[in-house]
Amino acid sequence: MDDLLSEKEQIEEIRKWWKENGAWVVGGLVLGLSLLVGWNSWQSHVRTTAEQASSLFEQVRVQAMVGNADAASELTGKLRNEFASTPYAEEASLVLAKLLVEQGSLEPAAEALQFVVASKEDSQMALVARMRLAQVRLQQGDFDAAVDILQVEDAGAFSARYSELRGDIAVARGDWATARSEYETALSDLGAGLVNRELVEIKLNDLPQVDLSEAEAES
Amino acid sequence: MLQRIRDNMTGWVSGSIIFIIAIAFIFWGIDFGFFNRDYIALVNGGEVSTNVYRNAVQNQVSQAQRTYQDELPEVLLQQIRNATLENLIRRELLAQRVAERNYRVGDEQLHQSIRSMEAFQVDGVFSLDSYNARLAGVGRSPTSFEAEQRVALQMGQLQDGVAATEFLTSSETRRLIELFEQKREVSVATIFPAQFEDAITVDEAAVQAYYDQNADLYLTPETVTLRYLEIRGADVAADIQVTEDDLLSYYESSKAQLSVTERRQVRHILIEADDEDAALARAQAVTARIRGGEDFAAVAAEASVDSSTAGSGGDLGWVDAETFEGELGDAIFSLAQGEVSDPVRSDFGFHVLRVDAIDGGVMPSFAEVREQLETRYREDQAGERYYSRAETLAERAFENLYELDSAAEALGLKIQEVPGFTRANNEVFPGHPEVAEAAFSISSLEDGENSRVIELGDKHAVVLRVADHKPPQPQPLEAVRETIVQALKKEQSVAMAATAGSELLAALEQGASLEAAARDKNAEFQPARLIDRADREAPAELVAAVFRSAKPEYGPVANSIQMRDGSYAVFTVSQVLPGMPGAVSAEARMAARRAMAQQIGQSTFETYVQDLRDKASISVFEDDTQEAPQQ
Repeated sequence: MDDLLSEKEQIEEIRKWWKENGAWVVGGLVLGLSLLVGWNSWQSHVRTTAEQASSLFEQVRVQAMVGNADAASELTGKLRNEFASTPYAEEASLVLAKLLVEQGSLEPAAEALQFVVASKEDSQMALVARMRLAQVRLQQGDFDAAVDILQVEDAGAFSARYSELRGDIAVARGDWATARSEYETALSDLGAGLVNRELVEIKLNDLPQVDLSEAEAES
Repeated sequence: MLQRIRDNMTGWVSGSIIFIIAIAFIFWGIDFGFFNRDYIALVNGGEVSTNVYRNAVQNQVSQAQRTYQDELPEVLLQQIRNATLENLIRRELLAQRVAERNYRVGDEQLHQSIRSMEAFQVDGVFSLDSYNARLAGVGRSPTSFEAEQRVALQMGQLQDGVAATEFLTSSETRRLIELFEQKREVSVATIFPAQFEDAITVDEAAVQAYYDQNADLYLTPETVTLRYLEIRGADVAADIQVTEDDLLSYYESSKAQLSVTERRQVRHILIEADDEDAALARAQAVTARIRGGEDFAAVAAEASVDSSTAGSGGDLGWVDAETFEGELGDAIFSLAQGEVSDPVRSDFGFHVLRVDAIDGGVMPSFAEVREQLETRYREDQAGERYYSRAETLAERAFENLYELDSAAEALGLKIQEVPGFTRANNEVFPGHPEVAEAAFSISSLEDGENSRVIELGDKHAVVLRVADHKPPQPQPLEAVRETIVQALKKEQSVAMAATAGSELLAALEQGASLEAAARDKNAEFQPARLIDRADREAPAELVAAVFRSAKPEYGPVANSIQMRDGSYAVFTVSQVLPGMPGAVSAEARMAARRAMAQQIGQSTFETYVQDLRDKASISVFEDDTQEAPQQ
């Protein structure tokens, strides 16, 4: 106990301990502090980068609104090259794709969408981009590519929409039987049935009656 | 062993352990959250706070109550709770996605968005004062509001990124317009069942069988004999005697309400009291100048230090006795009209005053207001009597819970009686379903108790009890025979219309024209006409059937539908015309294209969130301190 050691001896004990362990304590403190500082500056770097990207993205939206495809493409390119780690590269690509499709530039639009399809970070957004890319391929008349891009392991909540799109592609091909079965799948897919039912029903009811003899002959 | 621990616990070891523990408590506090869960759901480990949930539910409930005007049924409350929780879960999912992916809105954009909010603007311009005041009003700090706003903007970027980027290609646009605005040429033959009814004979056995099977469709309504006491303010108003003395003392006691508050229009000249004596001397000089005939306004402009009034002749506008306190107020209200005051000291300095006009402040004479007083006096008295009678009614009816006679006697009322009162009765007390509700409540029917006092409006109430409860009973066959015969005839005639319809359809397949076949079957024929999906002339179910029908690729396609009213329609579709995208201008087409894309985009975003939700791990807990729904 304390009274067993004199004050002098206690001080001596502390001195001795500090001699043995002092370097470690100081080293630990320095390491801890530098980790803290490093983490903070990393955080603020990430934030600054994101803010720059965010403001570039807002510019893309403005350019898209006024229909300036060149400026929007350039800004989007910059986002993709310098800010690929932020979500804004993908966001801007989607904005750009809409603008390009409305202006009739299908191939550049497809290229912008392809970038989002490849996204690993936001799987839902990639699924959305696949549908839009399929729409573009359908418009280009490239039915096989359109069907291909819709081939995914699991379209999740989007599966009814995927069916509807496959139905649309089949209609363009004149393949009424496939169209019918895809539209019916879209309507029956109750769990994930997030689809405009009225619209799909209209599409379904508009299909010509399948000529049974022809269908049998094919199979 | 213990001794060693004890030894070691002294000195630096114990000191540093205590130090570390103390630091931990200083910075992180004692967290009892483990014992007291304050979240209602866990979404991928993120918490949905119970408080936020309860507030949101409360908001929704009050909003629903505004439209519902009544206590919300439990089913609806449950729906509100579920929907609110679902919304919060989805919000949390989006917030997580936004945080994971580092969506970030910069300060500049955040401030711009806040500045553009109408709530913080004065005359269309952002006002910092109004911003701070508004936030303080709802108990928010700017820091927390701005943080929340930033998250909202970031979530908006994500949502717009998915929803607002939806597009339709030009061929899709064309296809949708062709589909939506499609027209179909259709001829219709309708067979009405009524034409068969006369020929149908219904035999007694069928009526009996139908009666036996559907006895519960033909019950007498449940009735009671309703007995009630009704009191109204008007009942006692006529009995009130008013003497002249009553009115006079009423006049005295209501002087405060009768008199009009006096207001005075006043001007002043303010002399700053930097040096008391010198200032007083200057003020006196000003008084003298004006009394000597100088224009008040001119002197005010020259001498007054009150910059807000000096330029307008010193005018303070209309004031009442409470506008200025102390000597200043007293002085204003003791001046005669047009008189110029001696200097008056206030906290501001010395004032020289002039009252330009005096308004009101005159007490009307008894004779002037006598009539008005009498009406008011009678109303007061009637109100008092009514409320005392209502109290007596409530007490007597409650103390004598199983009869109304004592209450009737105490109030000098006669018990009213309505035999054969049903739940649906709306004639005895129109617009007051609560009366029937009380009459058919368990305490009335089974316990035989008087009801509570039911307020039916201003100074109008009833207490009721019931006698002679007749539960619903099957009616004798004789009483319902005619109804059953009609039902059977309807049933058979509808079947006959359907048979005739199928025969008509078969005749078409044999090559008959719809018109000829219709004439043959006594059906109403409508010649070919183009209809679109929104057609209003034909019944909606027929239009839907026409557009569901196959398209005429090799000649007209015939089809039929049994309609809800029992009539049977056979129709032929002879032509399908796609909607024409070229019929509208390119601008209109682009607008339609964008509108459709926007709609689809919304649904895409909902699907996006749904998919997030499907893939999330979500646990929902009971809100165990759920307050009882509001009574």
